[in-house]
This record gives sequence, C-alpha cells and structure tokens, in this order.
Amino acid sequence: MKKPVKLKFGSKGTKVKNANSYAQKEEPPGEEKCSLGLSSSLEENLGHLREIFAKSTDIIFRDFTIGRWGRLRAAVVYVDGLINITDVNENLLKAVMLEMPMAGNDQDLTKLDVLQKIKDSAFPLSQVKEATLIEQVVDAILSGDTAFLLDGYSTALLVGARGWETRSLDEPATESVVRGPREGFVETLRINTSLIRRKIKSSDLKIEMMKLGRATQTDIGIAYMENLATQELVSEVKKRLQQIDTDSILESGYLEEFIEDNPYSLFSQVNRTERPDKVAAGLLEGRIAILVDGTPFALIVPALFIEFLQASEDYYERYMISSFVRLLRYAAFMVSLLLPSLYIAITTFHQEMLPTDLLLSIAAQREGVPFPAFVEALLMEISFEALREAGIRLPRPIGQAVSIVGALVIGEASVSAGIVSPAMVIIVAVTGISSFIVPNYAMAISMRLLRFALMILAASLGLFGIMAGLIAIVIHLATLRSFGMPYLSPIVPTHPAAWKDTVIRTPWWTMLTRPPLIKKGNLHRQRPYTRRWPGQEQGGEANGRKNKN
Amino acid sequence: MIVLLLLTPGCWSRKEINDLAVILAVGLDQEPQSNQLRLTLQIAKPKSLTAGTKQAGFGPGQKPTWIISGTGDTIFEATRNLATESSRDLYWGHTILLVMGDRLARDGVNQVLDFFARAQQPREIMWIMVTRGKAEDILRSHAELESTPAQRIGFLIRSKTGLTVNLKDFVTMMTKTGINPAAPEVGLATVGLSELKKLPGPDNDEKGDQGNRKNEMPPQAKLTGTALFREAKLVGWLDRKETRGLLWLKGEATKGIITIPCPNHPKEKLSVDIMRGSTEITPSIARGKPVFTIKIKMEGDLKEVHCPLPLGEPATIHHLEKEFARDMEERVRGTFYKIQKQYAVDVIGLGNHFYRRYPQEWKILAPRWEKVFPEVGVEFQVQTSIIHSGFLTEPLEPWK
Repeated sequence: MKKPVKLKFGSKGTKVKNANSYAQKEEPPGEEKCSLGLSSSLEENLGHLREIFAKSTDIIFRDFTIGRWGRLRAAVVYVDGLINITDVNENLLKAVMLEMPMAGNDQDLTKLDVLQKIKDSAFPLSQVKEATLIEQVVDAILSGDTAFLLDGYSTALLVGARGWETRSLDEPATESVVRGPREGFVETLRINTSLIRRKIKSSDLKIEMMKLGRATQTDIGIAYMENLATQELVSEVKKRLQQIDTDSILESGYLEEFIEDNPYSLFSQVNRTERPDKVAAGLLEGRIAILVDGTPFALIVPALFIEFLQASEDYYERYMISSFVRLLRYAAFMVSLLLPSLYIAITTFHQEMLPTDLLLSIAAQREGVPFPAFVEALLMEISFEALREAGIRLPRPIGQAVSIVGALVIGEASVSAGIVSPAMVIIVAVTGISSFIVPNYAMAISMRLLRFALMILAASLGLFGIMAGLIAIVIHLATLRSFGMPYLSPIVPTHPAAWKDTVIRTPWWTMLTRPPLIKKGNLHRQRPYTRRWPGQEQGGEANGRKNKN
Repeated sequence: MIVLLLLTPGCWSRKEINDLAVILAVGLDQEPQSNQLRLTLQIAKPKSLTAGTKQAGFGPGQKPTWIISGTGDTIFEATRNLATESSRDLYWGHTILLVMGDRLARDGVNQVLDFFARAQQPREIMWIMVTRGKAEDILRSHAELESTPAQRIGFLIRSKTGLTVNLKDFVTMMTKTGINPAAPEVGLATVGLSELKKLPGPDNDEKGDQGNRKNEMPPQAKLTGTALFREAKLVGWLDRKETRGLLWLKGEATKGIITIPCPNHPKEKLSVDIMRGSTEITPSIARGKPVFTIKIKMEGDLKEVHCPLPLGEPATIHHLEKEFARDMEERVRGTFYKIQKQYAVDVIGLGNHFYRRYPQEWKILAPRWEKVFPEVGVEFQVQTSIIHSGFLTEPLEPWK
C-alpha cells in the first residue's frame, strides 16, 4: 500500500506550491478511502489517536478548554522531543488559552468559525495548515508537528513548531578540503535544503518532496534546476524513487542500490557527497540531487566515471595545480589498481623485463621467503585491508594503537622474520597510499576489490592475464549507464567539447559552456569575453582570441 | 568456475624470481682433446649481492657469483648437463656477456652462435667478445667496482673505449654481404694499480705499497683490442691503438683523446678530447676498380696544454687542428694497412658500402671481394676542428 504523499510546509511560497502540485499529481486515485476522516467530536478523534498511539509513551495528549467559560474543548497532540516546547507553550497554548478569551466574548466564539479565527489570528506561528484525515494528522505528529484539535470541527490544525537536537554544521569528514567551504550536510533534511538554497539563490531551484519507507516515512528531497535539468531525467528519477516500496530508508545508500542502473556492477553509478557546494555544482550542470532525511550524504545523478576522480577542490584551486593533481590522481588510480599484480606478473613470468640489477636485488630480497610472490602479496594486501578496516571501526585511541601494531607487524617484523620481502612491503605501501589518493570512497572500494581479481589473473596468466582483466573492466565500464548517461562519457562516447574538465581542468574563463549533459536551457555558463577589462588590453586580446576558438 | 579454470591446471611458465639461476655471463671454449664444447656459466648468487647490510652471509670472502662448467657436443647438450648440477633453473634472459676462447673462435663461431640466436631466452643484446686463452678465465675474473664480473665487463664495453658488438650486431656482420665481423678482445690484467697509487697515506712509499698490494689484487678483465674475423673464423688481432683507428674508420668513435706534440716545443705535449665525430665512406669506380673516399670529421676540445702557445689566436688553433688531423690520419692509415694488407678482412664494411651504391657491379665483384679488398684504393680526408680551449685561454705559466 502506498502512503499518501504528505504535504510539507516550506518557508517559501514556491516550495509549498510545488509540493502541492506534486502531491495532487502523484497521489493515486482512491487513496482517500483507505484513510479515515476526522469526526467533529473531539472525544472520538482523541480516542482514535490514543488507539493509534497506544503504548507510545512519548506522545503527549493535552486537552483543555478555551473561551471565557470553558465552553470549547480542545486538545494538542505532539511527540515529546520533536517539538520546540517553548514555541508550543508560548505561542500555541498561551495564545488560545489566555489571549483568545481576552479578544472577544463567548457569544462571538460560538457564532464564528472559531477554528478559522484561531488559525487566522491566534497563532503567532508561520507554519499552520489544516488536515481532515486522521492519517494526515498521525503523519504530521510523527514528523514533529503539533496537532491542534477543536471540539465540533472535523478539521485539525497542524502547527509546525518542530525542534529537536541536531548536530551543528561540521566540516565534512570524508571530503575535507584545504581551500573551499567547510560546511557539510547534517542529518536534518531541512537544514540541508537550506544549505543548498543558500548556494543557489534562484527561483529555478526546485526541491520536491516525497516520503519513502513504510515504517520510517523518510523525507526525500529531489533538488534540480528547472531551467537546466531535462524533464526526462527529472521524471525518470521520480519514477525510480516512487517504485521503491520498502519499510525503511535509513541512509541514502538504500536508495542508491534501489535506483542504480546496474546493481551488479562493482562501480557506483550514483555519486554521493557531504558537501553542499558539490551538490550545487552538480545542480548547475543539470544534474539531480536526492537528499535523504537522516543522513548527511546526498546523492547526485547521473554520475560519470571521471567524476569519481575529481574533488570539489579542483575547482577552487588554481587550474594548473588542479590539473597536476588530477593527473597525479589518474596515475595513482592506475597504481592502486595495478601495482601488486604487475609486480607478481613481472617477477614470476616476465623476469626479462627487469633491469639486471633490479632483478638481482629482488632475487636477493626474496632469498629465504617461503611463499610465492602471489601468496606474499595476498598476505600483505589482506593484512593491510584488515588494518584499514580495524582502524576505521575502532574508537580513535584504540585505532591508533592498531595502526602502530600494524605498521610494526607489516613493515618491520614480517621482513626481519623473512616472511615477506622488503620489496613487497614497498609495493603494498605504495599501493595503499595511491588508493588513498582516489578522492571518492566508493571508487576506492571498487579498486580494492578489482585489485585482488587482477592479482589472481596476474599470478595465473602473467601480463596476459592483467591485460585480459583490464580489457574486461573497460568493456564493463563502457556498457554501464547512469540514468541514461554513458558511464565513460565524455571520453566514450566522445564529446571533445567537454574535455576541458576531465583529466585536466582548464581555467574557468575557458569553460564557456556547461557539460553537454544538459540538452536544454542556456548552455552558456558565461560571456565569452569575461577577462576583458581596461588596462589588460594585451591579455584581454589574447584571451579574446582564445575564447573565439 | 573461472577462478578454478585459472588455478587448477597447475603452473605454466610461472617461476619465482628466487627459483632462477640467473646466468650473467657465458664462456665458450673448445676442449683441446675431444674438440667438445666447454660451456662455462657465471651465475649470480643473490644471497651475497644484497645491498642491505643486515642480511647474513655477506662477507668479503663471499664471491658474488657461482661458476659452473660442463661439456657437450652442442651448447644445448652442455646446458642440459649443467642443469643437473644447478639446483635452480638456468635462466638466460639476463645474460650480459658471451666470451669465446680463441681456439673456438679460430674454428668458427657460426655453429655456437646458432643456439643464442635461436633460443627464446637469451637476448640479442648480449655483448660478444673474444679472449686469447680460455673464456672461463675471464668469467673467473674479479670485479672491483661492480658487483659481478659480468656487469663489470658490460660497463667496460658500454664506455665505448673499444668496439661495442652485441649478438645482433655480430650476427648481422657475419651474414651481411661485404662486411666481416669484428669483436672486442678481452684479456686479464692486474688492474687497479693506478687507483691504488691515489690512496692517501703520508708516509707511503709508493713503490713499496704497489709491490705489497700487487699480489693481493686478483686479475680483472680489461679490453685489450679487437678480434678480426673472416666470415666466422678468427684470423687476427688489433691492439688498443689500432682499435681506436678502427673505431674512427667505422664511425663509431665519438669520444676519445689524442695527444700530439706541441708545434713549437716538440718535447711538450697537448691533449685534445674528441667530442663529436662522423665518418663518411663514399665508394666510386675509377678505371673499373672500386675506390673509396673515407672522410672523417672530428670536433674536439683542448684539455691539457703543456707548452706556451698563444691560444687566443686563430692561427694557432688552425695549426693545432692540422696537427691533430695529421696524427689521426696516421693512425687511421696504420690500422687500415693492417686490416687491408696483413689480414685482408673487410671489417669496416667497404664492400657493403659499395654494394649499396653499385648493387649491379657488386654482383660481379662479390665472389672475389676477398681478393679485391687488399688492392682497393682508399683516400683519406680528415677534417678536425677545435671548438673550446677550456677555462684557460693561455697555458699556465709562472710570472717572469
């Protein structure tokens, strides 16, 4: 059964409007029948709610009377801990219980549409809306709204006075930068959307909302630029998300697996980030961001292979440095993928490829090592992986102890004990460092797994095996798609226009157009003569010429 | 399934690096009595080659190589015999040297080179050389600066003081029309004396020191000249000075030193370092006979001047250049005379030059080239120029 899509309040009109239209459009017909309407009796309504929330000690029911003679009975229902208690006390209860009666007399109250009056003039709160279905009320209460029920009315007022403990904005732990914004997403969706909104102050930025997860009722935000993202992409993302019918979405990783094009691939086809600036950059290239309540990790689709080797800092640092770092990253990527297997292949199959001195030196180091090179490499790589995993999970003080022990065992003791050769230690260390250079954790994990596969191929077939493995990987990558985009683009299929931002990053003022991912809207990022200003005739001219090309 | 397929068939050509007996040098001799081949292999002992000081077993007494020797009718047969003596698989992929004894070389080397050119593992770039005496003695020689004798000789050859001939070059020279092969000659000598002289020691009596140490120094290999082949058979030798002339003739020497007497003080000397050079051989036909013009161009720097000379003046330099050219021509002529008249082996490849210029005429000439070569006319044109005179323009002279 599908849950009705909940209407969300937004602090801005556009958002609310969007959410409304979205809900109207997507809500399947006949949904109303499943849900019970509110009755006009307060007793009955509260009874229903008490029944629904039985044994839930954190649900607070507070019934009271309003009006000078206590003629009108009312109640508020909320979840303790999810509301801002000051707001509820001061602006809700105080308003209706103390201030309302002062404003007029009971006669007036009974004659008037009291609920409307309360909504219009009593609550000094910005987020108030009406609900007629019990289901809506329950959802709202569970999301942190306060439900205000009045006897004699089959409409409840849902007051948005949410407030709970949140983590403060922190530097993203997985994507820290030397230069660049240091704020990262937090676990609260609303704060995250506000962070994006602060980056893109354009009414074209749309953030649509939906709820997923039968039990968790997780809020999902779909953010995109209406003038840049293609309609097909937006509807494809929505379609894939709507097809998810699971009881829990606790992290964006759940969604990632549900919406990926090829779920059996080792390579992640959805980019994830903790950085609002990265999301904003993605949106401005016509991509779609999926924000999930309860996790700081946002998803960006479509994702291309080359993006997993790019960091947001590439765009903030000067382009020469960025290009160098990117080249370094590509080199490190290949090293972390291939180095152990190349070592195995060359030392066990193709000794003639080594210079004589190196051959003798390696042979000397391997004297007395009881294992074949493959076993030796496997041993070291596995212990390195174990060490890495142990270091991540353990509390920080113990983690340090683990790395010290690991460094001693791997680096020092195993060599002097004659179990592994010093050359292998160097190989594993270089591979480890290289794998840390790959900026995206998902890609780094794919590399780690593929490394083992290539090591097996190298140990059995030598360089031939490595080549076969690489060819298989490239073929696989070429068949992958991320939301319809070929995974290897813009390299294959070839879009030379987009090569300005691939292996190297050209200066910003040369990147006149957005990547050809966007097929609609204004393709031009900037005017072609950005760098023309008086006093820079020479440079301006040169740049102008360059830009014309 | 795929993993099983990869792992179950056992191992193919997989060899751990420390299961290999890395052959660094090969010596080939002919047994005096049986005329069998004697194959001597210099095998690296990785244990004693470690750079790290921690490794046990590295001592001054430990020799870095292991030398084994066996006989057979063919090289491969000898190899199989040796394989029974070696605990590890013989690995030819890193063989640096192929040394042949003169007895074998005089008998003809084409049969023995067949194995090395045919087999997969040995490289085409192994250096070929000939020694007077037994090849296995060269393999037993000592290496002072390098870790193994084979590497030492390899570096010696690469320093281009003699001919540099590898297997491919040799086989090419042997099979190509109009050229006879030549290979460097290697010999043993108690080298290292001149270095010992430089040892610091305030009260060292130099002669006494030499005398003491002479016995301690084991013989080391040294490039001593060139071995000349007719087709595949060794016919004669050139000494070091003549080798240099040969290098100039072949256009291979781009470096070297020439010492000539000073023009005004014949007793004093000056040295020119050759920096660049080129040799051009132009065949022509004069009165139905092949004639060759050998044009040698050399550029050099003055490295040492013992006599007072006004080096700032162009005329002086010009004069020196002439002297320099004259000396070179003399040496080149001397070498050429030996090659042409004494041994009659065309190791420069004049015939090949002729063939390339006059392919039709060569067809007639080729069968009797051996007889024609000693009679061909050769004109030498040596051009030299001195480019720099170093930091000093005038020689160092005390104030008068």
